[in-house]
Amino acid sequence: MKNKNLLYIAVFSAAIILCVIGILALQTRPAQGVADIYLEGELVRSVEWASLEQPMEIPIGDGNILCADGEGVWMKHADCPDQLCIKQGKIKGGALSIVCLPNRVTVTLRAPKAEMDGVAR
Amino acid sequence: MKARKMVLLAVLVAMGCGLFVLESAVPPIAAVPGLKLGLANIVTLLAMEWFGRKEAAMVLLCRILLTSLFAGQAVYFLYSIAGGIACYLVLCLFRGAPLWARSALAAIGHNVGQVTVAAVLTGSFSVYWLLLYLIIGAIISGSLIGVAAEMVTRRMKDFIKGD
Amino acid sequence: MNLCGCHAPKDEQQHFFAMDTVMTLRLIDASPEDFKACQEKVKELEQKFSVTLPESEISALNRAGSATLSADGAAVVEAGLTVSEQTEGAFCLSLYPAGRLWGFSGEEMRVPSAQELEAVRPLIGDEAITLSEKEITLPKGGAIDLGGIAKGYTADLLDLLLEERQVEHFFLSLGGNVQVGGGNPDGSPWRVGIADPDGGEAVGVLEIADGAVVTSGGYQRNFEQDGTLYHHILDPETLAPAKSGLKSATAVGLSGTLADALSTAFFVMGEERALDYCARYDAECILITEDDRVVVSPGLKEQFTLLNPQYRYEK
Repeated sequence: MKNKNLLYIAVFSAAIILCVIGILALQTRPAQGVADIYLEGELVRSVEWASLEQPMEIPIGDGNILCADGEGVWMKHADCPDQLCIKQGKIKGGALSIVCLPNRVTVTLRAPKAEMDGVAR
Repeated sequence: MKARKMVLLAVLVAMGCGLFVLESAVPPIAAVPGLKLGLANIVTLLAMEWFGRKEAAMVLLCRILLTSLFAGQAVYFLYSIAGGIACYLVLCLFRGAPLWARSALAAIGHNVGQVTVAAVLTGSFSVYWLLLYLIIGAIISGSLIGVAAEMVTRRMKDFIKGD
Repeated sequence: MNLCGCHAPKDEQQHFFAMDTVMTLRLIDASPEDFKACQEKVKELEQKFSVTLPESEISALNRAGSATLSADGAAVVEAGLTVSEQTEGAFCLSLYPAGRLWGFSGEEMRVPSAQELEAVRPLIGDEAITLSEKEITLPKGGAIDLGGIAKGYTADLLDLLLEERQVEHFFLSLGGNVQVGGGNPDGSPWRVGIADPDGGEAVGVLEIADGAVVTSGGYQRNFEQDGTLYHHILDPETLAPAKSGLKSATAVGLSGTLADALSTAFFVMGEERALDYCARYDAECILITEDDRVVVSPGLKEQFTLLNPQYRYEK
């Protein structure tokens, strides 16, 4: 009996450590410069927020407005009852996405497809 | 079914509903509504420990049916059922584990089930990153609840079996 | 310099802030001194050209109405006047009095009244500027702003500097003005993205080994008032933001100075006049229209690839 207890203590401790490492790894990720906006599971638009020089507002469907500036993206307005997507705040790389479940909106960050050496803007 | 057993099962169902309402008062941990601590699943655990799988399934179903009458939106029902079923399956799988460990595992299963529902509803897998946080909470709270469950079970051992 | 030619090239980047924007220098097989020389040259030109620095020679000129310019100053003004003439005034150095009213040169952005704009109209017009050797005279009350050409000129000077210092391969981005040389060290041309005016991922990629790629667009600087969007590229005819049916215009050529001035001119001119100019003066452009089309001048068609499916491109 004692052996089994020890076994599970070891397994759970290892799992917790792995999760902590995972969370820390996420925080140290470089900013993921592109935000993919999904509505009802379909990609409707990509925004390269990292290269914006001034803030930009993007309406998503009827009920949400995403805001993006050179520092990150955040949900500016949503007509959902819980407003959780707004409470998520501004993300730029540590947290992978903002979700507005009632409106089926997900905004996910990723690195830009680096097929080029630079961009003329 | 013996009267004693029925009473105990009813108590468990009632407890489950009560815990569900209790944890609804806790502000959600992540930007996903309906994602709960899964406290109510302790009753599934206890039912399985005291009586068996069949009884645990009964308690689970009753609890979910009743609580979905409380919760407003259908979404909460989906979450409850996903969390509850995942939890039940894990409990069946790990019958040999010590009680406290089973509680932690059930809590993990519960969260995985819930996040999966979220992934399906939003159509994207990126919600799974929440599990990194949720699993830590699940292991800790699950273990603590499991220890409490173990103590309760020991005290009540005679009452449950006996006559 | 490496004699055996079988080494992995040193590929380094430096970023710094100058001319009100971020500058990125990517140099292959360069020394720290090479980077330093580039930074110093940029700062030097900033001191000469900035309208916002009161000690610059341009600010002094604007106050006095006439001046003796430095070699660089004279060169850039002459280039600007030439483009102004060739584009029939679409590129205009002397728009500063109007630009100041709109507040785009760093002050608070606002919509000036029609009277205010008409009041400065007589002060505007590059034909009235006389430049002889390094002596320049402005019309009374006039003022020039090199903002639409200074970065391009700086890029050209850096190009020359790097050539002198035998840095063959480089990719510079001066606030978005791209200047490249030598192609990628692996032998392929550099891949320069063309920005999406709507903030999405790059519209397309242009393959170019040597030269300049400069984009001008309303999306770069604008403000909203009473529901209307006002951007920073003024049409010298109306003294208001240009409405030419383009979201952005990119000029491509060997000279950064020309590309910088032409990108602004193309944006003001619109699709037809811009393509006309390119045909006449052997220039190249990439235009993104308001109705989401990408128009590429004939000389670039081989080197351009569309990436963003939200835009239509007829080859």
